[in-house]
Amino acid sequence: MADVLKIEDLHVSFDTYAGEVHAVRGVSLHVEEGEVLAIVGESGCGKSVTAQTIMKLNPMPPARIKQGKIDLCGKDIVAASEKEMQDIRGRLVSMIFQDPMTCLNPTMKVGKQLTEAIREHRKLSTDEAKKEAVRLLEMVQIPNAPERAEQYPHEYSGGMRQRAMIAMAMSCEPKLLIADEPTTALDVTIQAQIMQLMAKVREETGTAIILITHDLGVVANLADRVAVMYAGKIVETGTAEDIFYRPKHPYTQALLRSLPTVDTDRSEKLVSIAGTPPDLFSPPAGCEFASRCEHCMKVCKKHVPPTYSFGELHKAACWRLHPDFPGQQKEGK
Amino acid sequence: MARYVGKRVLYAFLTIVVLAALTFFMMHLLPGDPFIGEKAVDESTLEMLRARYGLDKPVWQQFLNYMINVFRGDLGVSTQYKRPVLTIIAESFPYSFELGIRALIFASVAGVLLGILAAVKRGTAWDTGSMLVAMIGVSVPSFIVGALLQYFLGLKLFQWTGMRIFPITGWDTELSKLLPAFALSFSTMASLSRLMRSSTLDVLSSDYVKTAKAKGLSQGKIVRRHVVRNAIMPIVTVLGPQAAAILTGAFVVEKIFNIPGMGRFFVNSINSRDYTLIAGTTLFYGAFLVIANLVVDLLYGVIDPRIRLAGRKE
Repeated sequence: MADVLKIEDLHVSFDTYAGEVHAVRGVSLHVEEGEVLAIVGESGCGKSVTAQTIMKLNPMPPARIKQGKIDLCGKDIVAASEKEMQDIRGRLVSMIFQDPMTCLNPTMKVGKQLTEAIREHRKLSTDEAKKEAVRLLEMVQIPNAPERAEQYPHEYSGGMRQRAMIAMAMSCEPKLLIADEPTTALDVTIQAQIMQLMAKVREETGTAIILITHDLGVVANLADRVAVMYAGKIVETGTAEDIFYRPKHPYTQALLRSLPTVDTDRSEKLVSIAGTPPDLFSPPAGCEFASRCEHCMKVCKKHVPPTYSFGELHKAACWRLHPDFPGQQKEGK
Repeated sequence: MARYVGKRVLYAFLTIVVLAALTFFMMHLLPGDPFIGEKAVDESTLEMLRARYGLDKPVWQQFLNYMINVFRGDLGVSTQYKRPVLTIIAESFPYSFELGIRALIFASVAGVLLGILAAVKRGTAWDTGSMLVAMIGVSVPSFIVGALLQYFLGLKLFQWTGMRIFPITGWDTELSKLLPAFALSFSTMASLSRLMRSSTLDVLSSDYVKTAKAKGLSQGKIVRRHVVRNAIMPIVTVLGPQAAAILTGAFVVEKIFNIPGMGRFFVNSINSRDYTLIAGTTLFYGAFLVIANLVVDLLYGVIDPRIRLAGRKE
């Protein structure tokens, strides 16, 4: 299948008074048509920056694309002008954000905010756009859609607002939907509903989804492939099965260990990864996870580990996966 | 809604009564009275005058009489001008009001636009330039602005061109009204623009502006449709008291441009212990302020649906 999005060796930095923050340091990824790619990582690992760079939503300056290529449906995003980006945003790619309480304009009716998105890219009359807005609200299962369209965001619950956001994002049937922590600000029960809704939307429209989250539980159901990010780099990527059942990178393994399971005894202490991520003002010379890694070796501190492939889609960057590493031979074919 | 307005009007009424009482008793604490001036008047004449204006009675009784008269629509007779206070206000207020309205409209439109410009072009020469204008505006008092305008646009321009474009003083032609209105509006415009800049910057960094950008809207559309309405609230808040202050007469500007407005009566009445005029003008100003604030509170609801008062029945 054709790629909707292809990112190659993307570097994004922020220029601050204190110096340059290397937020994204060589990310490569691709998303195929209709596929769900989850980008997982802890706060500050660069996953949101990567996503926002795809739409060039980061204010530039201070953000700066240092190098790399972003190809979205054949368009060169890095070179695109602001005018070209306006045409791309909402039409080819759209985005939903973390906090539905703050991402709708409080002084504009929800229906109006939808028709605005529709009329920006589709040639529809005001009336047609209104009907389309109601249809979209119905698609995201908002009861009483015609009435609800005439209401303001504060009259919606949190879950409904996120539904409205999804409706808005889908209004021009984009090829790619970026969901930046879409369930983080919601109740657990609502989280499940939103994830189901996203699955349904994908099935009906065939849009590809990039799901950004720090919650591995959210990933398991929806994602086809998972990319694990750490300190501005993708340390491991593979199918959801690869990541959950055959994790290769120590960071991924540690993340999975720290997930509580149904059988976890309540008296047991939850497992956590000791230490903190490196300072991205001056990233470490070697492997960025070395300082927290329980398997850290001398080479890890000095040299960036190369990326090793296991099968077609599963890749990880760790010195322990080197063919000469003891015990690696039999596992890594 | 009607209930809310009714309640607010009742409160407004109480506020004005308290204001009247405070003004009345405090002005009686001022040394002297309306009839002690530069000319020496003999004691018997003074007593006669005081009796005539009811000043020989105890202060609380004077106050009661005054309040009763106020509710009858009679603000008394000015001891200084020997004319009803209501007539004085009715004659002079239209000038002050027209000057004030002009200044207010200019100040709010220009202030809001300047603030938005500075915020949208943050960090550029536009930002620095408009905030420099604002800084000058808040630090230079209106009589300096007025005097400079008179000197350069009134006098110097006339000398250079030989054409009398802007009259130096007076209040008759359209052009004669421009300079005083601008002088009066400048500091208000400046403070409004600073306020608007900071609230616009706030809104520009909000999530819903990012949403709007993600829809593919241009910067102009984002500002027009999503930013202005949300950023204008603080402006509306300060506009109430500002409007009352500007509309009821600006003493200094009226004085230097020789406009027969209400401003001078505020000042003169105090100097000459003109009790009825002090109380009358203060009451008028107070009522205006209270009404302006009520209008502002109702405007909130129009602008922001979250504050809109529930019109439906519970």
